[in-house]
Amino acid sequence: MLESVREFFDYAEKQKQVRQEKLNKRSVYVCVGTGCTAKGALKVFAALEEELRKRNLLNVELHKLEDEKVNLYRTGCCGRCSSGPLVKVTPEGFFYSNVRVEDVPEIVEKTILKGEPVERLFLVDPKTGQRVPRLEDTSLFKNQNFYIMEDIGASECESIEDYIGRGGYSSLAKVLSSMTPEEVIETVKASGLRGRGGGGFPTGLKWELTRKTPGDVKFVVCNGDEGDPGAFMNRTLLERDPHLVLEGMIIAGYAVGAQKGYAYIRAEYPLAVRMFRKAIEDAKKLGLLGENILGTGFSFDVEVKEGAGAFVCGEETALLASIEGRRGMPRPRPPFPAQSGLWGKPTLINNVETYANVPRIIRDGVENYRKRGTAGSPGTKMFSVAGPLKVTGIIEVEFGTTLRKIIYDICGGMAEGEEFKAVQIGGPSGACLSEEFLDMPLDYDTLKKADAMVGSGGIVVITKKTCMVEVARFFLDFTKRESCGKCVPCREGTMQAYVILEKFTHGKAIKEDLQTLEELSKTIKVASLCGLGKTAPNPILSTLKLFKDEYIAHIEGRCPSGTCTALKKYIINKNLCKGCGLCARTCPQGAITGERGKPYEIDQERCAKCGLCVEKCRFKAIELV
Amino acid sequence: MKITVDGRELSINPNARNLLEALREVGIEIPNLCYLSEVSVYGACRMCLVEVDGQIVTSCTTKPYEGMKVKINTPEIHRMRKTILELILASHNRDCTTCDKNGSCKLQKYAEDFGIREIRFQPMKKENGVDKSSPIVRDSSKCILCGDCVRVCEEVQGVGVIDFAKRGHETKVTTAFDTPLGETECVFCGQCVAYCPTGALSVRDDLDKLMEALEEGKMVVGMIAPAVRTAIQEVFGIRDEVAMAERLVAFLKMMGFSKVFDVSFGADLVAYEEAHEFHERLKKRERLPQFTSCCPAWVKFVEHNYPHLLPNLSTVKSPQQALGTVIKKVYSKKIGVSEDQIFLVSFMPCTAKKFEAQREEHRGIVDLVLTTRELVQLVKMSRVDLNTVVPQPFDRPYGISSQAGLGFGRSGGVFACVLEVLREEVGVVEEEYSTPMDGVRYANISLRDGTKFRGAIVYGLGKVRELMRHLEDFDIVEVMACNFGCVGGGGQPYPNDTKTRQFRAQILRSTMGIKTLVSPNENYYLVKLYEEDLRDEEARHHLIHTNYKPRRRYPEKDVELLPVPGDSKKTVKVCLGTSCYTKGSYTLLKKLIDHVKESDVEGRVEVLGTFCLENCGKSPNVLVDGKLLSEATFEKVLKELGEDV
Repeated sequence: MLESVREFFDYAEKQKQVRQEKLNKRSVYVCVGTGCTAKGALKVFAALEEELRKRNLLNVELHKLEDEKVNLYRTGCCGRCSSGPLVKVTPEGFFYSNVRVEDVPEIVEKTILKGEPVERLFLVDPKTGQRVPRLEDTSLFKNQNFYIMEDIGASECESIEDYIGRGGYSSLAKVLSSMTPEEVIETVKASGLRGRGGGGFPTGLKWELTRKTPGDVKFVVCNGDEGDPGAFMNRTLLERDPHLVLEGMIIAGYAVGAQKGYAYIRAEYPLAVRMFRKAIEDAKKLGLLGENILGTGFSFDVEVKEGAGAFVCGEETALLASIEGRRGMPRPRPPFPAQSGLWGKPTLINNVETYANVPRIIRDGVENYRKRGTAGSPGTKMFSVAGPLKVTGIIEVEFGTTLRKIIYDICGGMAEGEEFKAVQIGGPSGACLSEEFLDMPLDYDTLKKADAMVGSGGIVVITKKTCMVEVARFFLDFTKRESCGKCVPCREGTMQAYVILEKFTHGKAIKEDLQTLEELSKTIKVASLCGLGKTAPNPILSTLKLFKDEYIAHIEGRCPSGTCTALKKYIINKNLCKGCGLCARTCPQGAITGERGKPYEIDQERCAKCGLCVEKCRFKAIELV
Repeated sequence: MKITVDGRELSINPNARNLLEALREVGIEIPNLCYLSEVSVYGACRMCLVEVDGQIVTSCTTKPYEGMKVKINTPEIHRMRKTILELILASHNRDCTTCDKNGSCKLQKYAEDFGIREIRFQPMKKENGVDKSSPIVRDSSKCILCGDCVRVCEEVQGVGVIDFAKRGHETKVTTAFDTPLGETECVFCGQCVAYCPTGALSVRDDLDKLMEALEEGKMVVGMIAPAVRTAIQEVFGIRDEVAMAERLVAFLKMMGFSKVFDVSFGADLVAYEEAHEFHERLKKRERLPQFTSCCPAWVKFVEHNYPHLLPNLSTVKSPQQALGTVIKKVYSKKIGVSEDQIFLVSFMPCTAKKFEAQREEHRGIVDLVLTTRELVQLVKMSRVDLNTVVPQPFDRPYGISSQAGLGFGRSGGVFACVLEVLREEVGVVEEEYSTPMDGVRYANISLRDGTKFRGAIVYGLGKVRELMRHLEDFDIVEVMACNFGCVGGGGQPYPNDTKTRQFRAQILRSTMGIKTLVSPNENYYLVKLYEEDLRDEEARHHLIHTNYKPRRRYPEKDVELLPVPGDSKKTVKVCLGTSCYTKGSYTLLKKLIDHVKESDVEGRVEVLGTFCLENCGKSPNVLVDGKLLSEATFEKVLKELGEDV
């Protein structure tokens, strides 16, 4: 238990030395983020542990470093989820990817004992295609701006000692010992930090409003209900560095005058929930959370509240209702949570990533912080990148980075045989952007001008093989199910928009549907009660704007990308068909008929468009038109 | 405060709750489907969109400010409103011609006002079945999810048996676990029906049963409740008619009713009896405060939520049941018609009365309860113009009533009537009233015999929950479940809002004003009834008193831990429900058992374990001889048991 700020700084100094020593010595870091875990990282960890123990190399007491022993650590997500499990070995810094249990003896034998690399496990630089020994050497790494994730690959996600050794909680100690709440708020305001949850509202203003609203009881809430399909930045952050978020929350609590914090984390993120709970426990044990923090008289407690899986609970008023134990339904604003939030008390609610920025701002100062990003959107942003790219996963770049840089320089461009068509940014509430937007700098204001939004930070790359109408239909299928059902435009509107989009993908749309769809989307956007409904039509409106030709093609009975089954038509090329009859025997619908030796024919009425015949035909006589 | 609306400068009330109400007060009704002045702002229908300083906002959630520039008619707003209406209608069961709300449906009206002639969207009728398990019929295929019923049930009535379930397009209003409404703690007050803008909620239509009885040639006897006469005129464009009941008497005779009596006579009877009951209790200072028991929704509310307070309810039947019993048991003998040949129909403003008549203890008394709306239906069917019907007096002997008896139709009526009896018989020296909040009145009364008592008059069950916290301040409590009392009953015609209810209360006051009798004691026929038929106390008690039963969510099953045979004992029941258990009721129980066993009181004190006293907020709960001790401690229980124990 640390009882004063001085005691804390002494302790921190000691932890810094320990950490430095660890990095200089032989240590092995295994990434245990959800991605790597899913690919078997825990098995690799166990195998390493066993192998080291067998050879009497394992340092059992992790914090007493012995020269001849090897330290084995779990580290948080490194962002390269598609190449997991990932293992890093220090002091050389060799970074191994796709490690399997079978690779463990070789790693121990070569790298740990002799300091030699296992080259075949090196990460492939997506840009050059070459295997590179260290993560830091890849274009993937060089083109990013790791700031929130600055200790990538060499942090212990479960250890508060390691976090403190990395400078953690020093910002909190500094705030508590030398800054007034007003000074903290001024600093956050001056940093230009904007809400990472999507809207980009100036964080400092929110803090100030919460501070200034009179009331003895105030709350701080962390929004970790990351629900966008394809977005997992918050999960990654909570898993890899829970203390960073927690520290941000405690500082916020001090700044706004709150006594209690709630971290609302999706129950579907069991690892994040566990990590965060452990972080709370560990922080309490050290006196960094709870009663009389570091003897400064400031008391603050944090509790984890697991979300039950409703997307709408990412909306702040619905989230607060959910914490209160009520049905997760948004309510009209004003009053804003800062005025009347949890149980009617002034409540500060920020995103996970927003809180993670706070300790950095305090540590580095406003001027240094603002060196990253643009004037209007300072700092960095984590994005999750998905789609048929060479590399996918979590990235961190400064605001103002272009999509081209992300897609081509960081992620190495499109995967083999894929051609870029569009990029969907901001999840179901976001927009689809076409090729012409690739050089647009990503920041809150520029995206807004393009009718798009940063959203939570999901980037999905769409190829020429994907139908844009289908993309819109997919997202509306999501939002129509996740609408809380309260307001008419969202509940009924998203359903009807979905129905119309389905008419398109089924080839049953008529010209009038296009106008109805557009008008309906505009009504949903303007008239809905909360952000879910207000942004739900974005996938429709953006595709209508940039890919209207695809909609028109569907009315005419064509799906240009060949995705929509109902619009597919298989025909047999009479010139190529040898009349073998193999296709007819294969067809599960019995739609192909003909006479042996003569060209066969497909009955379009009966054809289920499964494409089996195409696969079977040895003469490539069956064509998709 | 001055604002500009579509270029017109208007002076509005600066204290209005929101822009919608401010504009309503100056005669501009912004369309809305989920806004009720009586409950919290929900903001879900999005029909009340207006443009304020270039921004589209909902007027129900916007506060007006000086110099505000509002546009309520722009092509964009019209387009959006139409789209919203189309969206609602696409998912709505549009069987308008056979709907209970045909002609009084807000959605239907808007469809007409906005000229919706075609719906661009795919019809998606929601089929969740119709719940006919209670007098309140729920048809979710007509529900537009405005949530008015949910908020009225929760916020006004404090009952909260319905809420939203599921998400997206599957969202529906339902009870917990989709239990049929008839099996829930619903008190059937019908306030949800009163506020439902569509036909999703309606009252069971029982007119066919009347027709059947008439066809069978039974002697059909009617009785009309006070509040019915105030509301029925609205539908037929009649205003301030004080002889409405008499017109209805004449009308019902045309329909084949043999006799038509006035429920107000029953009210006189009830007040007379209840006044004596109260005076007795007051003298003995037992079972106080006495609760009125005229309102069946309130009675059911107590049975569900405050079973330990059932002894406080007056045991006098409600006017409907008391008069009904007199007609069936006394009158039938007088006229020499067998009880089962009389078909007794009561016309009520109330949905819960349908339930009351069906209660086990009241079976065979009132054969049919028809609401004001069903009576309206009967009038409409008959094609009779009530304006042209010559009023006829109610039949004797149960046809006259005092002013006070008629006053039962509005909040405060029962209290006033009981007080009139006491004034006649004991004398009132001083009376003083205060209104701490809307819907709650306090009274301080000094009687000539030196006793003083304090009364509370409440309407809206939600307010009762608050009152329950300081019950010890009162000796008599009048509760009417519906706002403004029976004039606002769930069976009254639409609209049934605050304004209309206030208006009805006014008509009732005028009607009372022309009555010559003031107190039930002056009611000649009532005096005669007492002299001739209710002289014998036991018989009287048997006829016009009743009892109640607890309706806890958990059946009353006690665990005998330290049983004592015989009657001369004290019983201690300790709640072992989850909430009480977590607050230490089990430890308390063990301590009590040990104490009883060790001390010399064994054999005189019985200890039982019980399950959920529905007072979880103040656990642990212990019942000592039926008296509830909340936040009980060992010492509290010992103190209650008394010194001899």
